[in-house]
Amino acid sequence: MNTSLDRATFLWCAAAVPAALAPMAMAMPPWLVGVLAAFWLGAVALGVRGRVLHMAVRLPLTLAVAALAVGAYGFRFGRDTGGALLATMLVLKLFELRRTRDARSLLGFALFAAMSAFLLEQGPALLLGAAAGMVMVFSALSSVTDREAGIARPRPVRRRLAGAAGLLALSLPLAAAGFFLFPRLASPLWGVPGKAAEARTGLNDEMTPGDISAMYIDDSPALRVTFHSTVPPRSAMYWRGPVLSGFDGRSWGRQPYRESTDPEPLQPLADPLRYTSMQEPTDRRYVLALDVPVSVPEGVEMQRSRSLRSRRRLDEVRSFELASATDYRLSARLPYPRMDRAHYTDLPDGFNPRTLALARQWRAEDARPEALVQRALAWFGREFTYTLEPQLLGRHSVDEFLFDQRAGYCEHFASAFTVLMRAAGVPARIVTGYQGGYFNPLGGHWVVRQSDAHAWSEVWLEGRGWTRVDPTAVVAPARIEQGVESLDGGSAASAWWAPVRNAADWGMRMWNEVVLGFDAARQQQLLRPLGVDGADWRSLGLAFALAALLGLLVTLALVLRGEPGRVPPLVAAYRRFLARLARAGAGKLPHEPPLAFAERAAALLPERAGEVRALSEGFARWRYAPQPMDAAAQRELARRLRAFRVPRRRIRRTGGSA
Amino acid sequence: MPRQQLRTAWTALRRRLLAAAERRLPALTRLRASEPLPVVLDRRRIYVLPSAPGLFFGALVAAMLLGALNYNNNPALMLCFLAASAMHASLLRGYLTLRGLRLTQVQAAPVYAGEPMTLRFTFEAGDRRPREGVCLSRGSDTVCFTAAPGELAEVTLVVATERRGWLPVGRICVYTRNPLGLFRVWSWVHPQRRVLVYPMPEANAPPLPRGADLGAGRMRRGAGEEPHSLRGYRHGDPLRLVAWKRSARTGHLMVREFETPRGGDVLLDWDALAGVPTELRIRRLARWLLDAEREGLRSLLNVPGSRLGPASGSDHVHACLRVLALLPGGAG
Repeated sequence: MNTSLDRATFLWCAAAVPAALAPMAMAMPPWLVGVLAAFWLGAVALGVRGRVLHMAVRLPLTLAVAALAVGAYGFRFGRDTGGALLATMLVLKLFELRRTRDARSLLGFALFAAMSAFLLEQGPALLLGAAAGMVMVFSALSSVTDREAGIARPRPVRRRLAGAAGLLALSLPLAAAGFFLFPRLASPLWGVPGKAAEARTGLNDEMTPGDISAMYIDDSPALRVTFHSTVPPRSAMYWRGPVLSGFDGRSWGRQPYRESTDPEPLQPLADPLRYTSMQEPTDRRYVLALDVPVSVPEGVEMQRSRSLRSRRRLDEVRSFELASATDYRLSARLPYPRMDRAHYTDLPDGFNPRTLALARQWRAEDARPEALVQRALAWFGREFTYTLEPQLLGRHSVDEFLFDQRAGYCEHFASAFTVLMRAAGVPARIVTGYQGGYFNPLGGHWVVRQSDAHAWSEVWLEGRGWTRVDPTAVVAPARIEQGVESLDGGSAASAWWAPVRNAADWGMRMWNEVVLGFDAARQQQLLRPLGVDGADWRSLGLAFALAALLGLLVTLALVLRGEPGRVPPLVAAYRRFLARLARAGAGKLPHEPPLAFAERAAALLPERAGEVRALSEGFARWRYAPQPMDAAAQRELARRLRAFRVPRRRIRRTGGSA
Repeated sequence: MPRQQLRTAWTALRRRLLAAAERRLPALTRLRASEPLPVVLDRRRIYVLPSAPGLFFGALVAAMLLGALNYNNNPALMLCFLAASAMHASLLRGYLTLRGLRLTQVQAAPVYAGEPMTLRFTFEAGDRRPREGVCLSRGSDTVCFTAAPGELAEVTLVVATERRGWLPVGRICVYTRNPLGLFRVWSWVHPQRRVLVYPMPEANAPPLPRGADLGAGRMRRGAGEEPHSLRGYRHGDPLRLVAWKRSARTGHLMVREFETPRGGDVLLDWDALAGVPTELRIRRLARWLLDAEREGLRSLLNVPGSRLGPASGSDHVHACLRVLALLPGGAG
């Protein structure tokens, strides 16, 4: 079967291509989407006239556009490059669409494209888009099939779309069975190639106060937390990320070589809090935990400075079971007193002379570390202001901040404070992470957003160990008490908007939990209520087979619903009645009319004669009388027929049978 | 041409396999017995296999499934399962397209051997679902139709005829690729119906043997060409006989019937043609029968086993052609 395409079928195929590519296009550079759209229009314009592009034009064109697509990703081959290449090929295939076989392969790869969009992005909107693409692909397929069958009169567009959508709706039960129970791979079969272009917000292993961060604009969630024990106050929610202890005069950075030994000793002063954190993908390795984590989940290691770090890059939503002590004593004695003290008071030469001078002066006046901390905080609270739009800072960034501008946000305060402390001889370091959270009453969980990103300091005090000092809290207490939003005064206006936002956030959390976070481990848990512990692939396979069977049955029932040939309920009830009579010894012969049989049965079962006669008469009247019986009477009759009971007759074996 | 040979070998092998299957597994193939009309397609006789595009799609979805599993990409997995089960649902749809379809009639107007015969199949769609893209194939000829619920669909297949006599309608494949073309759902139908093929009149036959006047009467050619009466159209009536004006007025197709001119009688005697081979004899008699009818003569057909006439008119001609068609071959 390979017939030429007609106009309607061509248009269906042409329409299926952008529909299938739409999810992928969201992740492509806009100009490339524009180029492809232009080519698509050209192909449609040619195609509706029944023309195809000559090979001599098509081949160079294909190569050129493919090169363009690969070039758009800087000639690096990753998933996104492959996707763009596939999109290019699909659009250009339209130029040579002539026969139904071409159309079928085009549609097959279009389906593939709709699916491969998920390698780049995994949102629920994308799933809807891909489902819509699938509906278009199936509609086009049905058009191609009709064309092959030579049906001249094409079906109306709406009916075709409805047919394809109906097909998808019908397939939901079976698809659900497959999704939840198809055995997952615990480890990938082949390496997972990375993406060529990374563009995710999140914390870095580096911090340069003075370069304006875009994080404050980004309202997307960074993690969602469900507490299993008491919930700490909002102002105590410090989510610990990378600890930065190396300062080069301008930027703070992690010191990986210092982080590889045992974690600093921790002495919790209260019961640790238990919670589950679902962290959005960052493409980096840090794992956020409430300050300070005491436990280490699987696949994660604890750094020396007690920040958590995953062994693999976090390129998907991950859920961690964590425990943290909010009241603690961290490293009451420095493990390597000399080395550590030297490291945590180290400052580069030639930067921030004014700050160093100020620190020296303070130290001369009162050398107690606690007093230095208090003095610095008091100064900050008195003379500094919080702003989200600070000025850029020059070479002596801390000097400029402390003595000239005196306005900035958390990074500036943390950095300046830490430098000041170090200069005064107090060991200090910077902790980056998030502060605060937003309670979603709908899901009962806390959402920490990218805009909650924060940086604070830790100073080491004799006898108390590493102590958190958040200079921002002194300058802008509202930032810590109520979050960043409170600072731009938009909270009142967004009050009406809150329920919608809560619902959307809750939906995203469900999506993360049910769809994205469903892995081999969760799959095993799924069978636990059924008494299968630690399900292996065999029991999973069995469960999958059973569920698939169930799904099949549901699909079948949906398809067959209301089919002709179904026995009317009254006939079914009558048959049941006959079966009961037969068991009691009065079997109806096939040729016997109901009333004649009733007489015979009444004679055989004299004690039930009246009932048998009445029921049979009712049935005969429904079946054969010219006036139809009303629905209520029918139901009543059926009920009585079904309720009819006679004791089973004992069948006595009379001997003599061979 | 090795390719050609390969194809021939494949066709032969396929035929042999089918024949073997038919012999060994009649219950499975249901190819064998012919059955009375109406034939209802039910689940016991409907078969399903993926088509080539279906296999291609299946392979594609399997590849996607593997990829999604490897990347542990749940939305992609979900879409894979959705695609796979949509394919399965399309199978059910295809199956339901055929199930419950009734073949109620097979008709054909008789033709002369060697002429293509048009077989007219009437299908009843039943009152629930539309039957979309149902195809009928017999040999290499295929025709497709679509019927809305409650409709009757009339489909014609053209069949080549080679010899006179009964032509069994034979085994017909009713199949569909509806709705997506991923599966081929088919059923074999073998209606207990045969159609008559008349002998082909001899092309250059000797002239009509006149003179055997069986009764009085002179040829009055042309005089009887007056329309005698009108009657309703029946299958097989030549279009030139349709009285278009009257038909337009009444809304039914009307056909003119001519008065048979009485020109004389012709004796079409089997024994008079002794020495001529049987088939040729039959063809010659058929030719003469038609010639006599055209010239308005009454004819008397005398063949072994029957004697028809003397009479004229289309009923007589058809009766005679039928007798001729069914004469045993090879005798004499």
